[in-house]
Amino acid sequence: MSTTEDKTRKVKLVTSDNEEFEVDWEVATRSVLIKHMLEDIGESEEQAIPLPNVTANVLKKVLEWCEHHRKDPEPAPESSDDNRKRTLEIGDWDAKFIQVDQEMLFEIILAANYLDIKALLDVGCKTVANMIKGKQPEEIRKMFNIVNDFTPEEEAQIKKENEWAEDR
Amino acid sequence: MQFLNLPEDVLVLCFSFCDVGDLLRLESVSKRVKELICSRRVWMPRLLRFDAEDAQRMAPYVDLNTLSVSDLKYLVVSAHRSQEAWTRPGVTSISPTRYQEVDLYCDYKGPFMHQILQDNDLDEILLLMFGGRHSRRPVDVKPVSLSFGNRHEYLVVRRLPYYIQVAEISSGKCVWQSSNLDVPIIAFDVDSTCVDVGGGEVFRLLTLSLTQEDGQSICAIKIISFLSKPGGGIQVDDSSTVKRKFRLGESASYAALFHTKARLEGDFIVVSDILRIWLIKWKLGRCVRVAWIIELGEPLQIAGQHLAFLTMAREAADIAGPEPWQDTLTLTVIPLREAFDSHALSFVPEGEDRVMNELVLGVAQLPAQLFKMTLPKLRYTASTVSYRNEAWFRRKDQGQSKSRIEDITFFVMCEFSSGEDLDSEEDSEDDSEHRTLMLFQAKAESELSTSGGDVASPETFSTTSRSQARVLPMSQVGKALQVEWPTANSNSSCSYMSQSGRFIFFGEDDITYALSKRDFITGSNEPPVLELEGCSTRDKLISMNPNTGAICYLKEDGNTIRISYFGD
Repeated sequence: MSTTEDKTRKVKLVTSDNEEFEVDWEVATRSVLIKHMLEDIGESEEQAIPLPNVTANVLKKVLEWCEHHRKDPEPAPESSDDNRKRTLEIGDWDAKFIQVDQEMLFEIILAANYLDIKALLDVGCKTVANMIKGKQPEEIRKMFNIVNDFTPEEEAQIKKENEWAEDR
Repeated sequence: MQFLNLPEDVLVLCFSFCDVGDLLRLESVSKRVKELICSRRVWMPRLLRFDAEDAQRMAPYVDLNTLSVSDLKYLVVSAHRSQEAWTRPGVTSISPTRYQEVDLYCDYKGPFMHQILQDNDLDEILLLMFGGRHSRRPVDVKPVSLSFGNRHEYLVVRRLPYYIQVAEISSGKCVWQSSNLDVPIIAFDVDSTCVDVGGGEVFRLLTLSLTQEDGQSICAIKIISFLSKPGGGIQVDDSSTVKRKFRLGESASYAALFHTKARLEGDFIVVSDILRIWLIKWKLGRCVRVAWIIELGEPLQIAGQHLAFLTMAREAADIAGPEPWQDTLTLTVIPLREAFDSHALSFVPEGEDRVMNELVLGVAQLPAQLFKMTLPKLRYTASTVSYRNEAWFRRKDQGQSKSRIEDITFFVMCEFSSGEDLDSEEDSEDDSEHRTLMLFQAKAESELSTSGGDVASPETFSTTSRSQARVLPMSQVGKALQVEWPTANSNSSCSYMSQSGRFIFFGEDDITYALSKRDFITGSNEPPVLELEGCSTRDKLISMNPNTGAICYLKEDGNTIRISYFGD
């Protein structure tokens, strides 16, 4: 539970390329990782939080998301995660936010995963699922630059195995 | 940064948002993607997210941890199709997604009427067969509810002259036939839920044959184990067939025998005719005959080692009103294991070839839970009893330590015709216009000595000190549904309810209708009754697979059984 004091508090974050960001406590703690680190270091405002797995350009983007969602309610507990309905719906602001090139998209996903920002990770993964939606294997390979390492026989075998499951 | 360089957990999360068709296509992208897709982490959570109603093929006793990835995938695809087929807003009918047919006569090696006449001297039965009402239903079918895998599914078919065949659905071939010596088989049942899967058992078939010994009617029981055959299919090891006999009594008439019903589950057999119930623990050769004094309600169910049946009684009303009486429906639930355990010392063992000694008990001497339901002042038409075993759906939340018995919920669906009170002697002209459907549920308790927790305090059923029965209330599920009914003056239209909570009605207009438990809960404004397309108005509905909801029809030609799958 955050206090009024927390809300006015500033947090320093240092990226892998040594750029420093000073952000509101409320924004920074959208990341569960940062929140726990702040709890560990206590009241020391001067101590910067190192983020060795995130570059400045990615963190800038992540913090933009956190700033917009600073007032969002706390995410649901982990245990309920598996049972919730999965939809591909993304809010308008998030959809616009995530309109980035593939490289940046994957970097944001990686950063959200590392920083433990569940909602942002979901936005990224939903975007990937949306990119896959309805595409044929060859189109997916092309989109994600994946080499087809199946032999024609192996491909035929997979097709045969899944024949029963195809739409009738 | 490449897609496949993302951590595995992240890739699996991405796939969790893909629909089933996308996942199947992804398998062909590359070996690495296939490896990721074909993992339990992808298919298990997806399966668990389905409602019970959609995950039809998931039999309650299956331990998910023992299923292969390909089994999980199959179940997900099946549930996905089912969900798509049954939940389309604004749709008033659904079509089968596929069907299979079994020709009843292609492999027939059984006896014909004249042989039965000669061999068994069964003139009276023949008369009843041809002249009685039973001749209108020449085929009984029980689908073998295998939980998953669509390669080998079976139907057990009994047809005149009361002869049984087991047919493999996919090939349409007969894979087993009963011995001519066992004809007429007066009742039969199939159990595929409580079998020795580890020992290769696929299902057990129970047959009850009628014989005469020393001037008495004897019922010969056989429990036949069907084992999986190397390379696919099933086989019977005759040496493993268990035989038992019990006395039907001198007063047993052939006419009464046509009302005989049998249920098999695990170690227990329950046989009933119009007035009596036999409880049999077949492995130990123990038999309890329950003397019954009220006409036994229909139908009788056995689930999770509980016997359940309905009885109707008109009782004095507690409050003053225009009608001094009140109709009450009672669902009696007898935990079979406890019923036998409480009288364990009274049984006298007999050999397999001898008639079992009966222990005759009154209902009050049996442990029982009595779920009572006061019916509304509407014209009561019919009730259907069914059950759902929620073991699997609990298991996902609570681990596997829960007893099976705790997971059985019985459902009673009552039908009432439109709005007329019970005093009205004259049939209302708009009787055929509307039906009120109400669904009630009763949770069977595992221990009679413990309170159900959320139920009212039990009261004593009988004033006799020996009574072991407890009275508990039933609770209504959701809201009553008003449905337009296209049939006229039907006395009983609800026929089956599947484990998944779907009801099948056979209308008098020969159209088959479906209704979902979900409709009661949501109280949806959408028309709750769906017409099931795909059968001729002259086909006869004969059975419904409790797990898959697949419906078996006898086609108009009388020679073919069609199995229609809806969303499976």
